[in-house]
Amino acid sequence: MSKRDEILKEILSDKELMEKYNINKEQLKDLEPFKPDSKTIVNVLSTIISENDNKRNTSQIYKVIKNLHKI
Amino acid sequence: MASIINSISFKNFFNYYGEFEDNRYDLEEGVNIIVADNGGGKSKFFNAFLWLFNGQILDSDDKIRKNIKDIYVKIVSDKAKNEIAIRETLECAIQIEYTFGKRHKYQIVKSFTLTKLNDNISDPTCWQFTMNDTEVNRTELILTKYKPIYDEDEKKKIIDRLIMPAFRKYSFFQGEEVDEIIDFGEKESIEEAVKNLTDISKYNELVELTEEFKVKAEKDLSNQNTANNKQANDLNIALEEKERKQEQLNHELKKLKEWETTFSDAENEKNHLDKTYANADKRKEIDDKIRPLNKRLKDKVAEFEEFLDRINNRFFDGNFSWIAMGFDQVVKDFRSLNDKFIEERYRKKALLDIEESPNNYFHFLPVNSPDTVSLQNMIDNEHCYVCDRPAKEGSHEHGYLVKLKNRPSNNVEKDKSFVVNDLKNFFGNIQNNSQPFYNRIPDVRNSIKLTREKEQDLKRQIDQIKIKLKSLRDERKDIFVGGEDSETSDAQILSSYQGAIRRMQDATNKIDDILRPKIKKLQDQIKNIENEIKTLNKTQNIPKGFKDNYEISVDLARATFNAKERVYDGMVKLLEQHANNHFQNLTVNNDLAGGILRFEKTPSGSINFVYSDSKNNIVYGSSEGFQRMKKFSVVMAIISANSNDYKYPLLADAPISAFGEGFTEGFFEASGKVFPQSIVLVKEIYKRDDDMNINDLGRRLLKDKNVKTMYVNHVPKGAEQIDLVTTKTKLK
Repeated sequence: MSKRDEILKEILSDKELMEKYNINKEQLKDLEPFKPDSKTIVNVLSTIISENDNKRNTSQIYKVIKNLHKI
Repeated sequence: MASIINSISFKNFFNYYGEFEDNRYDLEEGVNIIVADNGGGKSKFFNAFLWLFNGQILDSDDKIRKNIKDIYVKIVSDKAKNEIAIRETLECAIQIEYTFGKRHKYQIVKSFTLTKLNDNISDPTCWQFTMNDTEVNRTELILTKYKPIYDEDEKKKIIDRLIMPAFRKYSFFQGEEVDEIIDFGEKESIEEAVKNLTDISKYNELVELTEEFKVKAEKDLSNQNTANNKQANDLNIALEEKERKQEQLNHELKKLKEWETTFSDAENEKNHLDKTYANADKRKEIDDKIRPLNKRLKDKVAEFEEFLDRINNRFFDGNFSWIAMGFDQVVKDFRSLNDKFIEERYRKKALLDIEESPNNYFHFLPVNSPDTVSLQNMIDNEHCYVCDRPAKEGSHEHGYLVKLKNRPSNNVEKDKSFVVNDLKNFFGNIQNNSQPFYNRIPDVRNSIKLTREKEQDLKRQIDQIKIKLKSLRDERKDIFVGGEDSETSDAQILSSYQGAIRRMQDATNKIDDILRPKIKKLQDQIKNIENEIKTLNKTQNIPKGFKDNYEISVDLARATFNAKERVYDGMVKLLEQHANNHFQNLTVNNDLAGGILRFEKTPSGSINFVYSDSKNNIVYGSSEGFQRMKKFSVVMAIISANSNDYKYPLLADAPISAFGEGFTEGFFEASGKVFPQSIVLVKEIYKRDDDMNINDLGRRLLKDKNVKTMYVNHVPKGAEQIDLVTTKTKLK
């Protein structure tokens, strides 16, 4: 498992978050962002983690997030 | 994957005189021990790694790490420097070979060249210094030939892979340095370790980012809000209220930060004073040992000087007559010549007597010999004892004896000069007067030998005292370096100490009783407002994307913060658990029970290291050995708790000085289990008068299957710096 995946899963394993966004343990285990059925919150977090690794600044990342929300 | 050092070689590096092949140490996975007495090249060995990783060398004179260009003259073997001629060059280098994984092997060579300009070998200006490029070579493990690497980035990567810079702190240490590595007085120590072992810095970045996105999402949402309906109005009020609360929260957080700084400063001051105070005790203990030694040295030096003064006298003093050494034959020659002279003189005199009085009976006996008493005896006994024949009364012989007896006592004729210069008395006086002098000539050699032995003995005694003094002064210097000396009086220390504790207590009260509850309350209020905003959003005619963006950003900010705390706390717990396991192993050979190590969070957010007994009482004042082992436990926990594949070797110079065999044994057992490879330079198991130069513990370790190689270093006894060469014996 890559470091990015590890961090993604660690953050999403938050109990409150899992409940609210209907993420069960199985889903958490085989998490894959940007699949047709993947949840927005997973895509947003995945974007933040990878774009931060790519050394993009806050404004650049936020633009990508807004695109994900289509706003 | 682990990096394993296969060999280290030296070329004219300090005492390691000669080429790489003369000074090569082959090392293996597991425990490698290099045993050496003081001055046997332990620190020099370790210095090679300092040079490799930091481009520095530890100057043993002042315990300061210096760049190569500032210390090059000291680094090169004196013997090598002395041997080369002016204008010739000399290379000083280290070579390290290591494998990483199962495929590649690397060779790293660091070197510089000196050209001799004149014979003053210890003067840096008498050498031309050239730093050579670092050579890095690589080979496949199945091949034997290395191929050079030219790319500087690649070279750096290869050197870094041996021990990653972030982990060197916990792997690479020298003597007392382990105290500095994990200095529990410095609040950052354990945080630093946790940071290196986890992605906590990544989480920190993400916490900041998600907080920022939350603010941005909120602003975007606010901009979408249409002003003229009630719900929008309510939303505006909620947003304003949240902003107000947020400002209050920021204010309280700022205050918290200030109080945390106050606590942290007071905590640092307290820890610093702890150290200073402890150093004061330690210093006094060493000073008490130094003082009588200084006096002994002074007395011995005075005795030696007096002894040297006396040596001058021995050359001319009649009692010793050293200056006459080797003159034994001259005395014999003189005697024999004098005998000949006397014989010749009597012969001449006797001939003259015959010539002048042909009728007188002449003889070659000395003047007035035989004496009157003897002559009377001979007359009475009618026997001549001179020629041992009868002299019957009435015989010619008897008559001669009577005549001799009646010879005039002062024969004027006898004194009559018969040579121009009669030197008989002159020579006789020389012989008589020099007798006490020349009688001692045969003893001169022995006297010199005894004096020489006495000289050596005095010198040895002085040297021994000097060595003891140097070691004590070094120890004292270490305290200065490690703990920064203070001339402050005990009363002042105590007052500052109590002040620091009071400030810590004040800060703790303020943080725990006032600020944290207040902050918690504000955070709860903000959370409620955020929920209200979310509810209001749902009923607003705002595009769904803005609402989702806000909702997700708020949730992610919270979840990311919680994840960071979770990961951090988890690693602290894991470290605590590993550290305790190691501590038990390290102290297993000690009679005293080791306590329990606990990591606790302090009000300033740092990790407090607590050492308690089985009933949870804090243990104070454990011996230095236990203190050192506590730290080692944490150092070991840092590698064993590391879930990464990357493992690195332990390089340690004298890590267990003088803590007793229990710790020494425990240290080797535990480090063998934790580190894939450990290279430990140690003097504790050295024994001079043993055929292998190791003590009983050394022999036990030699049989230990975890110990893969063991070398003993040797230096010639009493050698001058210029002849100092370290050689080695491989025992295993």
